Amino acid sequence: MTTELTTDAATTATKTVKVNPDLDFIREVMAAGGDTLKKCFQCATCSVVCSLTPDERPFPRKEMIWASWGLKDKLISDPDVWLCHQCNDCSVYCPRGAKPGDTLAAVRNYMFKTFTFPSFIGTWLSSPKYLPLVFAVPIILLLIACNMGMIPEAAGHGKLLASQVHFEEFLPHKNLYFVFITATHLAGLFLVIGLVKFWKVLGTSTQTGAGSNPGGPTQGNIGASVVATIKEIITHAQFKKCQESNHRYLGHLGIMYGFLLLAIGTAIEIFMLYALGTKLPLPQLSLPKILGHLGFVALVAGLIIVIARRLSGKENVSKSSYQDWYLLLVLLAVAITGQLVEFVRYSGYAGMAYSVYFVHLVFVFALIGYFPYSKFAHMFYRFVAILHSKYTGRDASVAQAAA
Amino acid sequence: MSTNGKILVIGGGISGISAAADAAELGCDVILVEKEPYLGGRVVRMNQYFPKLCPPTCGMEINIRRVRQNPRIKVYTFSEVETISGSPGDYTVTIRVNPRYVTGKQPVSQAHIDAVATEIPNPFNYNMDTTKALFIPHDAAYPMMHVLKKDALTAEEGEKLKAAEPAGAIDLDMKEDRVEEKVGAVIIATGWRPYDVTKLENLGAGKLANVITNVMMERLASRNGPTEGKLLRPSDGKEVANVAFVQCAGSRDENHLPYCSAVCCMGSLKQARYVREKVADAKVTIFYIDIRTIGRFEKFYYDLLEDQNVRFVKGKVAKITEDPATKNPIVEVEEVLPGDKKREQFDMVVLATGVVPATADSPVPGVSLVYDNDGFLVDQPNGAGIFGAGCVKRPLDVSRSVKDATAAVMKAIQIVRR
Repeated sequence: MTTELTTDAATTATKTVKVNPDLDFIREVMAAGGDTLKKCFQCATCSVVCSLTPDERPFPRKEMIWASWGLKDKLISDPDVWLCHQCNDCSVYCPRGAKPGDTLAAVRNYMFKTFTFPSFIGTWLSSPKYLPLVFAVPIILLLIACNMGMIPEAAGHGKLLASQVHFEEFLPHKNLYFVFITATHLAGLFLVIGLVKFWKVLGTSTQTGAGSNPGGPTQGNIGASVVATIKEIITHAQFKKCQESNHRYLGHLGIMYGFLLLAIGTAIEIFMLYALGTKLPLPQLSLPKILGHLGFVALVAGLIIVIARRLSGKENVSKSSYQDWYLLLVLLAVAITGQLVEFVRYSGYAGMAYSVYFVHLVFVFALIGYFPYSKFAHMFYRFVAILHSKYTGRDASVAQAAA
Repeated sequence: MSTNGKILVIGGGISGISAAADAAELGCDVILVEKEPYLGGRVVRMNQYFPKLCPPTCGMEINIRRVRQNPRIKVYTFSEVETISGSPGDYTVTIRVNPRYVTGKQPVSQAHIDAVATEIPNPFNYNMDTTKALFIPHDAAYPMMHVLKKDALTAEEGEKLKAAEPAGAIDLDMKEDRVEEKVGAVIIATGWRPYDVTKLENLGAGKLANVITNVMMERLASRNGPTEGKLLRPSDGKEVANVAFVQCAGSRDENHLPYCSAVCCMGSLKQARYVREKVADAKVTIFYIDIRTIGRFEKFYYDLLEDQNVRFVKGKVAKITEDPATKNPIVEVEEVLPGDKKREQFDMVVLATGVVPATADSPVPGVSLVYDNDGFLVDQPNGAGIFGAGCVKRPLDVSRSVKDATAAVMKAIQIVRR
């Protein structure tokens, strides 16, 4: 692809600008939620109303014309696509209904779909027509790994005490680990390779403005940039600046902390299980259980906020893509089935407990088995892009814009 | 089919006046109804207008004379059409004549004027200054008659007015009047109004002192305006040395007016010249999405591009705030080339607000006509006797409005001469 765009005002008039649009890329982005992008007439209202953009080479106006012209390389290497938190202030004020917020989200969806090897898995995760396949994989793997005979057997027992429910026997941990650890580690490996590639391409296109603010607070210091990135993410400092969709900040906060609590709880449980030899099930007042329950509440509360707002006729401002719904609904299913497992177990219906546990595991696989290829991966791409913006000094102008 | 030879023209702006004069000069009887107490509409409030940049006293004066001198035209000012009924060739129209409280039978004397002290916002100057509640709308008004804003008077002023000589000039008991007219065809030339700036919340919603609209700029630049033609900004009366024009303030925006108002680019280019001509070394910046100058007006644009003190910035202004100390408006924009977000201060900002058809909020009463989604009148198919002329149909400049009015007369005549 030959694109020789220049933004130097003095030379633009005389220099020939050659654009070879990648038509397939335009079609892909339009299909991934950016179907309105062609309505853009480049007025730049979006860049002005955006609370998150730096002043130099602001987004999302430039991304809109790149998308419109099919300049895939520029968008893929553009960290700004990931500095956008889809507040949708731009889409609210857009005079044309071009929805820059949705277009940038569509570019991110395109990245989930295509960026990580092998990209056919990304394709599976990008459209509802592959949904049976997406679920067939964990169902088949788990059917092989489980002692399915225990379901009717347990049902035959009638009531069972919680302590008589043995998930370990239903699905031996070595089998569980084989399925999940293999899948997630392979996926993780591919993701890491993808992220290294991502880091290398970031800022390589001429117009992204990366490095445009030499002397930013953490420029050139990778350690300080990592700290600053983590700080920004845990405080949601940028997300908080959204004007039109402030609820998203709250919802996302709940989901993120809920998920973190659950992850930490699980890690502690694994530690107790193997390092301390603690027997399962853990007592209700143990640390992992408490963290898990708190996490469940935060996660579900956050999900409810986000899902309710997405359903509540905000369609004219932003519409949710398939990738959005996949992540939200799978997360919700994981949380609810997870809680159900515990509930059913203590209610004493063991047969039910094994079935619900099975369903729970299928959803867990749908969440983490494919994580580099679904919207779940946004946290990694975003982390890298924010880190890049801190490291290159692009972030300095974000701070200056806010001042 | 019985036809009534008269033509009703609703609206006494440039389109309506042209239509009335054209029809009368072709031998038709015309009834011209204008809701303001004077003829001339938006054009008389301009400083200069296209294509020749004449002051309205020039072209408008000729047209008003055509109306005034033609006995076939009956003018109702300060009047509104209440209902239209009937069918092509035979319409019955009810006209409400609002009370001026000035009879015209006796002259309004200095004693009357002295009797009134109350000042009211001056609508002719878009409320940028005030006028006495007993006032002549503007210095070239037709009819050259006072209007009394009775609601604004104190009881004491009422008594003084009653006592003032000559008696009979003012009638505080004047009631609104209703007149019925029979006509064969109707020309609707109710024109336009500027888009309501209070809806442009990100552009200050009309609350920032030194952010004015393009129609207000015409008044500021006019010799008979609130500043006698000096470009003094509202907050402190300082002469402006650095002015920004914000194009598409509401136009080409689905959240406001989805269409291009067609005249605002030319309007701002013209107003940029006012600034350059009136204030030595003044600087002008025009923020735009696209400069739309059609046909030969392109030359006008190119001429301004030559001016070193006029800067064109591609990028829509999407936020205006104010420096609290100086009251200088601060304009926020992404300059698309090279692509940098800027905040710039100016002495004054002029919003190029768009054209809203009068029919957007008040459709023609009594008849079912076709309007498009934005309220513009769509001419009826063959056989109808009601025709639009001018800006009620689409945003137009003066010369195109005049041509459109003539076209409407041609259609109306085919009905009344059947």
